Amino acid sequence: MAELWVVLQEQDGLPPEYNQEVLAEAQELVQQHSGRLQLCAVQLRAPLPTATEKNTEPFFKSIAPERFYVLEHPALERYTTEGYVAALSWLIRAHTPALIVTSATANGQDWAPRLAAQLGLPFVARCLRFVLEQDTLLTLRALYGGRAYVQTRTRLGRLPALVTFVPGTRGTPSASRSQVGPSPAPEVIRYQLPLATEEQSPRLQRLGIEAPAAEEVELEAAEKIVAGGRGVGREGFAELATFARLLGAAVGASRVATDRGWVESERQIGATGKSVSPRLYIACGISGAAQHTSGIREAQTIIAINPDRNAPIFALADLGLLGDAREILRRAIQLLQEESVGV
Amino acid sequence: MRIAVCLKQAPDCSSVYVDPISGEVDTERFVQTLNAADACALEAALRLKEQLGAGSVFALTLGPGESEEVLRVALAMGADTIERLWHPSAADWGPLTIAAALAARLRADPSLPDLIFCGEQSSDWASGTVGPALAAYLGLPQITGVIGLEAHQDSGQLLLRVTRRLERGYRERLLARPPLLLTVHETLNEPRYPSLPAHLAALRATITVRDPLSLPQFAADFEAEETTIVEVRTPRPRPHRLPIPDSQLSPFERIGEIITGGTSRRQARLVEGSPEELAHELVRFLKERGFV
Repeated sequence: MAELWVVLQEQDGLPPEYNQEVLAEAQELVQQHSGRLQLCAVQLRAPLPTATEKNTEPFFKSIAPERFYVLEHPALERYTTEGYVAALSWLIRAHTPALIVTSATANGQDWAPRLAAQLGLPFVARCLRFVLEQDTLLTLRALYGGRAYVQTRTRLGRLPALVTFVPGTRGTPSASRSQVGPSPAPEVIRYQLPLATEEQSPRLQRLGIEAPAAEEVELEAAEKIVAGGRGVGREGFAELATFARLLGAAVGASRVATDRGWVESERQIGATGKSVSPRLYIACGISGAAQHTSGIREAQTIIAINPDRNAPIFALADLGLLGDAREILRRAIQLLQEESVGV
Repeated sequence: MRIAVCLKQAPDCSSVYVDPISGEVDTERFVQTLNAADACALEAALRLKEQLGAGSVFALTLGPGESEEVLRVALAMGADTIERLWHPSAADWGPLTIAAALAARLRADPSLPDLIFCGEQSSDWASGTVGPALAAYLGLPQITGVIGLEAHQDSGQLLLRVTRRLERGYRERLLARPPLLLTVHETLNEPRYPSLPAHLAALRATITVRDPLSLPQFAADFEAEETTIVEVRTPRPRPHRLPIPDSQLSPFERIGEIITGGTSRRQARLVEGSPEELAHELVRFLKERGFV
């Protein structure tokens, strides 16, 4: 049976949903070709000190592949272009799959084209959808910065095709309803890669990965968000940012605040901005027009600070504070600072 | 220090018009420019050359006659030599074949350049493939998605401090020594405007054109590249499921629910008081829920 590989990616700051999404998309394809395609996952990692099968579990919440290839090598401790290309070339030679899919992350877009060039694989980058029809691969991708979509056809030969899938296209798969009982555990095939340890190019030294400052975290990824609107005012955003930093939260804004240039436009939340799903959302001086609240429907805990008793935001909040956001934030900053000094 | 920069002429995205019914792209309206990321790659190369006070910048493109425009821009900005590759069949080439042609051209020189700069992706196809593929064909290490670049002299050798863009604001820091290939993100720098005299001089320059198929080391795997376009159409987003609004509600509220996508109402605890009291309440709540 032909295999469809999903190459899993791990990296600081990379949400696990990206892998889930590709798995879900691939599973759909496998179901369409049931009996002819087999879903397999591929993980590249350093050998674990205590090798337990349990370590594989977090990847497969609702979608379980039938096979799980684990490639182990000390050089795969962290991402290197050479390491990924060498490891995957080795595995492709051992088990030639029909199709290889991975998320089009920064790293995915780093190794995948190189692997394709090295092995001469048919390669389609940044797909929004991919379908197999007999011996052709049909993909949908964006053109001209998303102004047009193009459908392409790639003939599959004896070599596997390689596809990168744009993250966020599908969204996080919700818990599968059709699934009855826990999915069967995948057959785990572990390889200690017989490659030379010098997979890192000596001319290239990877110093490390830096996390962004909490207030700079992209809103879609933020655990906590402090957002401000008209009631905060231009000057108030400095305090709001201080408060956010103390809380380890990202700064968001309503359209009023971004339109007036108090905050850059990529911080806008709502219908014409971003949709966010933080655990904590603090709306300061935001009345809660539907255009804004449409962007926060996934927020778990909402705190609203507003002087207007009738502001619709209070209907959505877990805690409502009736007062001027700036005043309250300023004092809350003092309280949090006193505490951090006290500790 | 010899630096090569690979450039592409691409339509400015804001000039792209797609007919919403037929899905036809109106190529007549295209405003062709130097691809934004490639302009940053060229700018990075020129700044490096200026900083080192020595070296040369070679700008290379693969494209039809019109794309000489980008080479003239490169020349006006400060490139030392320019060259265009073209063969009529190249209009159908995929990124891997294009990379193979560029690799063959760079191999045709007595030695490879010390540094190669490419744009991370083009504004039209945005497959981000040519850079890494070129590095693979030339056997060079690569760094993709560069958003920070500093050059230092380290005991007579050039040392590059590179910042790479990862997801969600994360950055990777690297140290690199040439030779290598860098693909540049369009936020790396602000490309310069060429001066008018330089621009006028560039208009008169003669441009060398080479046929990549005549290059000795051009061995493209055309078979791997059989990707053909089936259809181009206007974007249609994936459908998004919304909960059905409660029929008990007034039409106004139902419309509100459709717009908000059914944001759930909660039991708000409304607290009044002086700012001090409210700030205390806020901090207490945050602690109680474990956010602080």
